[in-house]
Amino acid sequence: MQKVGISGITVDRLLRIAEMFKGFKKKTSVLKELDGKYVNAGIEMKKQGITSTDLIKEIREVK
Amino acid sequence: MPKRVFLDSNIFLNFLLKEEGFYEGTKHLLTQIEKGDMEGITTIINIMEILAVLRKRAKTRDSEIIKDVEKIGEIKNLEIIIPNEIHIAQAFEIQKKTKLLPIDAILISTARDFSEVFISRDNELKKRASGFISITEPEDL
Repeated sequence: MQKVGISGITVDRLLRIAEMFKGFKKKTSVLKELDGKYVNAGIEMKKQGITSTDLIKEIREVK
Repeated sequence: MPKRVFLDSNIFLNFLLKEEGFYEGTKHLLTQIEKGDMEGITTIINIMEILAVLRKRAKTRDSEIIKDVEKIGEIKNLEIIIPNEIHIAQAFEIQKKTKLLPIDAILISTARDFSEVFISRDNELKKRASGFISITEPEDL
């Protein structure tokens, strides 16, 4: 396939990204499946006095 | 037209981890999005952060964690954005003015392009970036 630049992104790369997003199909209620699924990890974090906001900040600050 | 709200990573994690004090408000917000009362926006960066946190904290098979994180992209009326070079260039301008961390600046820049309000629990981000977009918690929407 010919590689044509679109704002610095090649068509090949765009197609790869589109492929990755194929799985992101909309279902009726995904929320029910995900609702509190990781509650045990949440309880453990609570015991340690850690919130998800702390963990995200750690990642962003590369601590 | 439904309100477009940008969701930070901690919001999804409140819901997945059922974090006390944060879970109810977040669940209500996500339900509103799923019903179409609001439109949700987030980025692939947030999705990657959620994966990183769950991998670090949950005692679940990696393949299952990946599957669950991908399911976030299946939530109705939630759009996942890949920030582009314009968002990143604007983020640099925001970073210079606010001393925000690079990722925070990219998220604010992208959120401004796609939504009216940025939903996060991060008070420091709220303090530094509120000049660029309205930042609030789910309960205050």
